[in-house]
Amino acid sequence: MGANLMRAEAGAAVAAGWKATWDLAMTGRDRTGSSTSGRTRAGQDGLAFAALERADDRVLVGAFLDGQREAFDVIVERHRRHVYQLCFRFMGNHEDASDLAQDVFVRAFKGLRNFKNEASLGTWLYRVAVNVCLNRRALKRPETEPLDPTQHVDGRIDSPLDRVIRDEKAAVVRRAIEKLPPKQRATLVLRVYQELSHEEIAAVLGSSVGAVKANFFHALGNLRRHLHGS
Amino acid sequence: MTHLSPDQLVDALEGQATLRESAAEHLATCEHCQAELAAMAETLGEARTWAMPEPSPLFWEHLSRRVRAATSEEALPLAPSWSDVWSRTWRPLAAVVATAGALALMFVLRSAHVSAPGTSAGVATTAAVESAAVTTPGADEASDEALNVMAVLAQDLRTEEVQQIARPSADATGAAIEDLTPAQRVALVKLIKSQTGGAE
Repeated sequence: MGANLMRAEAGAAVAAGWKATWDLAMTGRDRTGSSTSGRTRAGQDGLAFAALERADDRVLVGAFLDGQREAFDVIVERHRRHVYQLCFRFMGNHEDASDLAQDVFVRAFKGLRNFKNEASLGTWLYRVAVNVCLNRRALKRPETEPLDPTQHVDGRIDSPLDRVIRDEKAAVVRRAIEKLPPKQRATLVLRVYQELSHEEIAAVLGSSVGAVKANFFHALGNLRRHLHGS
Repeated sequence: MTHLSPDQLVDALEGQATLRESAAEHLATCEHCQAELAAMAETLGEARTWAMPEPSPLFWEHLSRRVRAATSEEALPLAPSWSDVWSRTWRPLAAVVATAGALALMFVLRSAHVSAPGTSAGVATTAAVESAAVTTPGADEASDEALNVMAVLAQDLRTEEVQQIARPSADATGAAIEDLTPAQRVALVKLIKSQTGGAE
């Protein structure tokens, strides 16, 4: 039922794009009536892209699986911030986070065929991201500090002193979180920084709500010990 | 009452309405649980001091371009097509049916010769295969070997087992057919006919 609905909606979105292109080809005018003579193909595709930008995630997935590559561009645009932020919380620096965010979307591109509508696309992407981050962290030993942690970061708001203090505090907390066991770290990051509900975290990690709460409890206890040694 | 469980402490920390009245009453009077909750709240506050630096406004489009470049050479992972359905469902099913048919043929031949007095099952089957090979115009050594292998395998199988192997799941078959569009069904029928030599 859900899959059929998704296909129908995706079909409608694609059909809308085709219809617009057909109109342009046959009449030389778009729906607003303005002449398109001399307009490039990118202009024609832009109409379909605009329709995709308004579509919900299920429609985008359907359109992508029907061969519309632009649908994936919209998915990236829509979810890149959350994916990057999650990667940053795991890796602690911009360079690794941006590399991993790219990796997450490449894996999503290849694996979107396996996406089921049991969860939201956002939850599915978080699941991919958590797996990618945990795998990378397992491989990346010993820990290295970034050469310039403020590179590519917008620093127009903070004064230099504020930034130093903020970065110091952040480094202490980050190092303490890095010492947490993987499931506890993932639970803490998803709850505190991504502000997912316990139910959503359970869906991302493939565990029960009770297990998520227990992991969160132990994560806070262990984090306290790492921060204060007690 | 015992102290609050981790679940209850997390609920209390987040002000969840799911915290039971009895747990709330315990928390109001238990210094141990209050201290535990205060420590959790303090740690949570410290964790939240790790602010998320905002990347440059240009970064987001840069990330999109990187993803686009990294996936530009990748083939689109299209939804399963009718040929995939054929590969995944019908081709293995056809192979099982063909194998079962060959096994059934072996049974027929074996049964015919087992009924003859004074011969063992193995000898009878082999003789039947040899007989079939001799009497079949155009039979060659390769098919003889294949038939012999089938005959040996078939010796220890019972009819019920063969039926179990050969019988496709009605649910799976029905579901696979329902997934096909009319055009795909027509194409599938043509493909099956071509694979089976045009038999109806």
